[in-house]
Amino acid sequence: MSPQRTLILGALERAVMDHVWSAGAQDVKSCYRAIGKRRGITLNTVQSTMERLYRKGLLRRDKVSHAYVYEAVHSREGYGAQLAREVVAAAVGSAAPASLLAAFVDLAERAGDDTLARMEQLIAARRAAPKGPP
Amino acid sequence: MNPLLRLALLSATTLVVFGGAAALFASLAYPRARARLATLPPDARARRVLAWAALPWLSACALLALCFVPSFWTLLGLAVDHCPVHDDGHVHLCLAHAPHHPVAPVEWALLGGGALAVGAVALRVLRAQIATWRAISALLRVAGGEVPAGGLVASAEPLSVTAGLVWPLVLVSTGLRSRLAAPQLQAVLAHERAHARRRDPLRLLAVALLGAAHAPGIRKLLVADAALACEEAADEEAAREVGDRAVIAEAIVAVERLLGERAHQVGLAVGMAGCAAEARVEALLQDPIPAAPVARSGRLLWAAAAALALVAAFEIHHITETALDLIAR
Repeated sequence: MSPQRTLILGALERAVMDHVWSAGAQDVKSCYRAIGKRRGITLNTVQSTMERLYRKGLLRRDKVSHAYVYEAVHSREGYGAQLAREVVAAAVGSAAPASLLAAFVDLAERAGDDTLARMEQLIAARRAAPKGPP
Repeated sequence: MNPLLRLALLSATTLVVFGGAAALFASLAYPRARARLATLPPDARARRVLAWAALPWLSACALLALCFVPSFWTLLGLAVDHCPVHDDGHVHLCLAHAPHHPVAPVEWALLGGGALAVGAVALRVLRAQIATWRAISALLRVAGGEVPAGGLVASAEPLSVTAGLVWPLVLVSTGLRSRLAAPQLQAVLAHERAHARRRDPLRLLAVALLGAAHAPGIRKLLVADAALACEEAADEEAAREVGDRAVIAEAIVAVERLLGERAHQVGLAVGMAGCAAEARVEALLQDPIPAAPVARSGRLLWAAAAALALVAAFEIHHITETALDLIAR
């Protein structure tokens, strides 16, 4: 399974993750009460969504009594960091240019230390040069 | 075969032939034209590169339209119907006398080859965009709204991108925000806002897709030149907004250093010679290239070329029909 498939969430998965991130560990019934009823979906749908998130590695679960209690594996920030890495990976790793995004500096090629040092010298020289008439 | 469908297939064959010829011309002429393009301001350069990318498509469509001019005049009663002077077996690229020949194997080969060559590249480009958009849209959903016309992403990755085609959004990571000096961050945001205003992702996608008609080497040059021109144009706009060209250059070096650290951590190749960052910094440390005034002679030249093309439409029509006759038989 590609990293994109693992991390990128559908609308319901996102709602479940948002609820787990804000409310903490949840069993399926409490999650259903919080987001399922409002959306008019069944308990089974919420259960299969949480199961899917567990298989994707975004939720972990423990059996308490007869029910599973689900908890987020990553913090919201940790999830954001992984997605940011995926954006870089998508831009760097694709066979064609990722034209949908323009990065501040090219994500696929890096200037070496020598080049960067030379650029810094050029900038310093420019800063030090007396300014001409406006 | 339905005469209209046959005419459509013959027109498509004509487009493939004209487009191929224009792509061949671009293969020979573009490497020389790059030297002249380099003397233009970045915004004008970006537009010219887009025009070069579109050259096979535009010239093929224009020439095909010219081929139909004689029959269009005939339909309007402004010219004598010339088709009856051909022998019966002649291929007609004509609105008044639709072709009736069966499609020749060479024609099928041209149509199939053209569709495959262009389709394969276009498919690869679109797949790359879908993968990028999936990642970007997921990131947008977790972004906070602290960046004007965009979002702030909680991530240590030094990320700063403008994403989207029609209404691009700016995404900046907390990792980048916390590690740049305030003037540099301002420079980065001004640069990204310039990309969004200019709709650079849309321009770059257009070059990548239109470039499908070019030879692979030229396509690569066009995409790289368009990307550099868009970056430099955004640099120029950011420099005007911030009022200091050197601070944009400093921000480029600072972000390069941050990304270089990450590249070392994740094992990416570092140290490519002649990278875009170097060219941008050098451009920023020089005075901006002044925009050339629109030359009246240039407009007159275009008007004269269009008039000449209309006058030569009958000749173009005949030459094309003769070439198609050789292909279709």
